Amino acid sequence: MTYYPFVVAAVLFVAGLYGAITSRSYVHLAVCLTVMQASTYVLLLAIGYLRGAAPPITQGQLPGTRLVDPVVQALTLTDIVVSVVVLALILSLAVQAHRRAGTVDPDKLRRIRG
Amino acid sequence: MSLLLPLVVALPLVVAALLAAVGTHLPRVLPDLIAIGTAAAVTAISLLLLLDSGDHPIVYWFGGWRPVPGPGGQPHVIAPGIAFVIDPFAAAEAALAGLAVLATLIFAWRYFETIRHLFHALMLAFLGGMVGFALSGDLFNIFVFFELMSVAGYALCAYRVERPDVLQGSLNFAILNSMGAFAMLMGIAMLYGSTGALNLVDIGSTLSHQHPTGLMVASLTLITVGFLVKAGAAPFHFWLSDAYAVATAAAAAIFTAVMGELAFHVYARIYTTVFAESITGSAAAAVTAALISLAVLSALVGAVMCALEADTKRQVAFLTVSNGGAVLAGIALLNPTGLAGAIMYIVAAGLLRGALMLGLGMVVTRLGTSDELRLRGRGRARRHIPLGVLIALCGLGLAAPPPFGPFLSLSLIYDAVDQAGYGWVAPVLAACVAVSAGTVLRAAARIFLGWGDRTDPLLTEQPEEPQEGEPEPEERGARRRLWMLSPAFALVVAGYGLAFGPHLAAHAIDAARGLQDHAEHARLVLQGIVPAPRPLPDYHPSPLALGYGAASFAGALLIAAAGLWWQRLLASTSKRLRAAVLPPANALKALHSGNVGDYATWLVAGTAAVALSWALTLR
Amino acid sequence: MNRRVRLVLLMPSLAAILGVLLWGYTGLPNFGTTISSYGQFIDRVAEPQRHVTNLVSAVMFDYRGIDTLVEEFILFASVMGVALLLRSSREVAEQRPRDVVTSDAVRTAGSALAPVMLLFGLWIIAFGYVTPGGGFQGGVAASAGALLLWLAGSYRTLRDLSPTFLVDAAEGLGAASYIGIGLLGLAAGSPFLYNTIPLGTAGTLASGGTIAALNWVAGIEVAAAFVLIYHEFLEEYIQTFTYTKADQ
Repeated sequence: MTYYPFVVAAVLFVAGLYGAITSRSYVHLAVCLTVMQASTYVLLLAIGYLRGAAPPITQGQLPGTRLVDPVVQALTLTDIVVSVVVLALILSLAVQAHRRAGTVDPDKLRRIRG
Repeated sequence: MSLLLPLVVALPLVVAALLAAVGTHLPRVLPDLIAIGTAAAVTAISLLLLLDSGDHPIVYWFGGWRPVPGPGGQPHVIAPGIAFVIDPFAAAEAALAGLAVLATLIFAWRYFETIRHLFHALMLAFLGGMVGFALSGDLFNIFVFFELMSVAGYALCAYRVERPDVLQGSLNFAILNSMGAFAMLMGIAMLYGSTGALNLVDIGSTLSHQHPTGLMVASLTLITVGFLVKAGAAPFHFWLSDAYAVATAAAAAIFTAVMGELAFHVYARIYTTVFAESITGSAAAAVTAALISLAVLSALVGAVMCALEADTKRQVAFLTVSNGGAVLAGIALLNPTGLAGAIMYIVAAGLLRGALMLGLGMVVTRLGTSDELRLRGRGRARRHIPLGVLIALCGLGLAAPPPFGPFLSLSLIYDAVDQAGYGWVAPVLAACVAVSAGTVLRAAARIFLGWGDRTDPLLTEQPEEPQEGEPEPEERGARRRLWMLSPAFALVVAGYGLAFGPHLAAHAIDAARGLQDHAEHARLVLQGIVPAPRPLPDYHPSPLALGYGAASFAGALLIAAAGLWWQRLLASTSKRLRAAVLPPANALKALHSGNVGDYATWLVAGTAAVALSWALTLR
Repeated sequence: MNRRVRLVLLMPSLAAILGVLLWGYTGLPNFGTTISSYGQFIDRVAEPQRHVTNLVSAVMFDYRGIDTLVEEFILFASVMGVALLLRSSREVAEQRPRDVVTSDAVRTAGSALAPVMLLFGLWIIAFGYVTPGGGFQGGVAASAGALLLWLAGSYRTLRDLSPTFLVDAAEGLGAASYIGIGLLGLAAGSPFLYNTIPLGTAGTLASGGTIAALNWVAGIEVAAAFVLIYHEFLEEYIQTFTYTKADQ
């Protein structure tokens, strides 16, 4: 149990990467990138966890209770905003692909080569 | 100074926000002027920082959060806040970014009419991101500035997204850079988990006490891959050629001048501050070996593909990859001379490439296309002479003739590889410089002098597209005014002149030494103890380096001539030559298929190769 | 490369990466046993130093304030990017098709919930540095209220109630105000983003100094940014929806 959350993070990372590379749709690809990003959330939050500790809010807590790591939570929050933002941009590009080229399949959209 | 320092990041960002908020209500010329003024201010402040940081790096803690001693029993200090650590290299990079954006904004004067306020706001946000990326001393802060730079870059690249090649290029850009960024973030998370710190120096000192092998290998691989994807080192470079070739000239100029190379610089800084103390002896040799292989691969692939392209913007993209190989070689050596040479080369070659891309943008607008073969002879009129001179000067400068700017930096790299026992790398780099610069000269000669053949089976041509389009009819006259090239000429002069500052190379080596002295750097950043001044080292290019410089210059001219007339000169053997050379050339070109799945596969394969090699050798 | 070759290259590489990652994670402390010294430090000193009870907000808006500043600007840049990509190339600009909701239940529930959601979002922002929440979280929740307006009514209702120039201005001014508050520190002779406002008492709304101000500014900016993103994507959807309906 002490190692399991890290395994989850690693598997999510690799699974997202696999899904993105073998994807047949830019929308699916964008969501796979989100899965890759989710692996970093899992890792960060697992790093910051302390068994038996309280959330990092001191309102209503007895002074001296152990709290979990607030820094990773701030990092994860920033991470989430970054991932949403990138998702929005890639999806806008996918919408344009559908509109202009009539397809969202990466294999069918090839104008530049060599 | 402490008043101006945060402005170097705050000013472009606040002006970007205000322009986006109220820009549509401002009169026509005002947003352009405001943006140009802001970029000029950022450049000026960066230059001041460059001069100020000559003795020792400047450390600035945001929010006033200085490091505090750790709780009882803990040996190290805790840095609760975020610092900017500004050494001369970082300030020089920031100044380069400011200059590139300034030149581009002047070049793009009144070009983008309908979305003008968005364009200026994005450019300034991009500038703010680049400056912060170069200056920050906190690992997660570097990541968020990296993302700001990237997101603004994706948006700027996708201007004119209704064209299919722009769409494909932007998608490849966004997807591959994001994969690299997520890998980097994973590496950062691992380092935080292991050391409990985010300040670069703090992580470095803690890591050197701990020495966990597996984590070191994994995090070093992930962070290396993240930065090398952005920097465009092979085999992570595929997105770069697509994106830089399709982006509008204004954006592409900044990409090629500064964006990718910044990643090399910050990677060097992170490696030196975080990992170098823990990786010594044979492990360091393993890191050097892996990075040198990637560097040589980038230099070769970039140079060869550059010569095999007919589209001039794609040539510059591959030129960027090839120059990046030289930079990575300098960094890989992990000694002060190499690092100094790499950073100076980033600045010198970056200035020239930015000017080149701006010139090519004007070629597209005035002559109609960016394909070298289709443009043959179109530039022969007298009014195109300044443009031709500009492009020729860029090509000649990139060929690194002694004693100008690019040569001085390359000579530092040549001498460094010699010192480190990798002497065979120097002639390879010189040859790649010759080939890539020679291609630029070939294109210039073909376009502006009409020399060379009309067709060439070796060169790839892109499908005929209406290039860049004309934005609005009333802008047509404005776009052709030559004064818009003056910032490009200024960049060229700066690039050539980079060798002539007093003791420039000596100062660079001194700065690199200061960075690589871990104990002294740590004391400066975490405790504010200013180091004692050191005597300046002495540097003169060795005769060997001078030889390589002369050879690369002569070689560039030869390659240009060969590129123009090879079919005529080798008329009798040309059929056999074609049969021998075409298949491998086509195979290399087929790798650059334009498909994002292929590119990402190479990214994954490259990551696995680096990871496995370090897993086996980093002990 | 065809897909076969891609898989042959891909699978062993992914396996290698998975292996190296798992090996690397063994160097981390065991799950749940300890947190970093940085985290322990913040846990101990944040409330006494900054008089706030939500330590995550303290980290975001004070200790690592410049991270949050850049993150806001990432959101800002991406909204401009989305607008650039979708707005500038739309052929039919001003035709706002009608997509009226016909179900009474949806309309009633939606209209009742939209202001609730907006208020909830504002509450999360307001108490962001006292109880769990904060500018970013509350901003997203408030923007969901705007989305409910579309669900309950029509796209035209949404656009009428959230006019572009106002939302654009809110977003830009929100981002600029964050920097403005940071510059207050410079004006007071302290570093950028120094906490220059009186700190108040922990556990009440009047606490935290600049943390409270930055919290609100971030909340407004995030809400405006997300409403702009919804506008752009909904307009895409409506256009496709209208065209396909017209084809039938």
